[in-house]
Amino acid sequence: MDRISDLPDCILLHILSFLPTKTAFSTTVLSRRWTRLCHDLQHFEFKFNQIPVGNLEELLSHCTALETLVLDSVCRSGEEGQLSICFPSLESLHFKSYLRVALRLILVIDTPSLKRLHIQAESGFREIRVRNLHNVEEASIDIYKQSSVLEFLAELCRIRILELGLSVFDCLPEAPPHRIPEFNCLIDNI
Amino acid sequence: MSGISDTERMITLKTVEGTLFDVKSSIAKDIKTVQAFIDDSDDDVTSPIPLPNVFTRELSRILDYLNNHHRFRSDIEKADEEMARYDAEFAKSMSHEELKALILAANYLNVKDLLEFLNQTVADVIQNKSVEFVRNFFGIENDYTPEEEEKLRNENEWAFNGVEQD
Repeated sequence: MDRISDLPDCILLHILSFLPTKTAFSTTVLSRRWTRLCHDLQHFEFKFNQIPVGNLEELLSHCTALETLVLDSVCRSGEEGQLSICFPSLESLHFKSYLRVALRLILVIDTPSLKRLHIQAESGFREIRVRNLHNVEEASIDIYKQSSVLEFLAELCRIRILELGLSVFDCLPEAPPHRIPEFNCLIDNI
Repeated sequence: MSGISDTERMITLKTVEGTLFDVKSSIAKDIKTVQAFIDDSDDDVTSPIPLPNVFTRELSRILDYLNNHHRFRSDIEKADEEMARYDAEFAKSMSHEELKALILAANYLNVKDLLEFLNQTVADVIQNKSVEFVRNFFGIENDYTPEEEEKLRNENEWAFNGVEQD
């Protein structure tokens, strides 16, 4: 007699939402009833090389309810290719990388619903392509590469709260003045 | 409402079996489905409120839980400690069948705190356990063939790396 599986989707999802993303996904093999449930979770958090960057994109492409994505040290040194964070429903993105060597990844962010962006990388990306950040209201940026920083700043037209890391202040004074945008909606500058 | 204070007012709930429970209106506020019924009746509730999906055993447990939590909250100093002890006992006292029935009742009645607590209780069982343990614990019938399961595990290999075996 299988009791727990008779619970409605919304309750099983609520139960899964208390688990770390990795544990939640290990329930996908429990039985057929459980296999697709995880794809309806809203909050995903990946840490410390838990998942290869290639699998991450494939996995998240099924997750249409995705609202919050936390990527903490998911990039391995020397990992090449592209990390695309292109999700229409995503509202909050936290990205952290503590690798000191320059990341060889190309980072693509295209997230029209994004409201909060926190990105911290001890080094820069090989290249950054950022689009559709016009709804971001709150951002914190700490990246050690001038071109990466400028790429973000140029997209944050409606930013209300902007926090810039020390690394940004190190690299900005040398940036061409015309590439530093004006922020007209800013209410707080930390 | 005039003349009668909120805490004195009683509301009667009726379960599937027809059992009647008198509940303080301050407790009824935590049962959102009941509160919505009261709000819709312009606060003029004199006859018992029927709960067509809730059995006596579950309602009795839910009211116990809410009454105790209200009592704990009135003594701020000890509240957290006593509540945690009570919750742990409460979770332990139930079989899986009872736990499931209570989750369904708490969901129907929309008792948010209790539902959070019960679902967290289930999540705690799953946390750090192997698939086999969770299947055994909850009696989940595996309807995958070994080949299908193997394939699925390979597709989500990252999720199974480093899971403790028990």
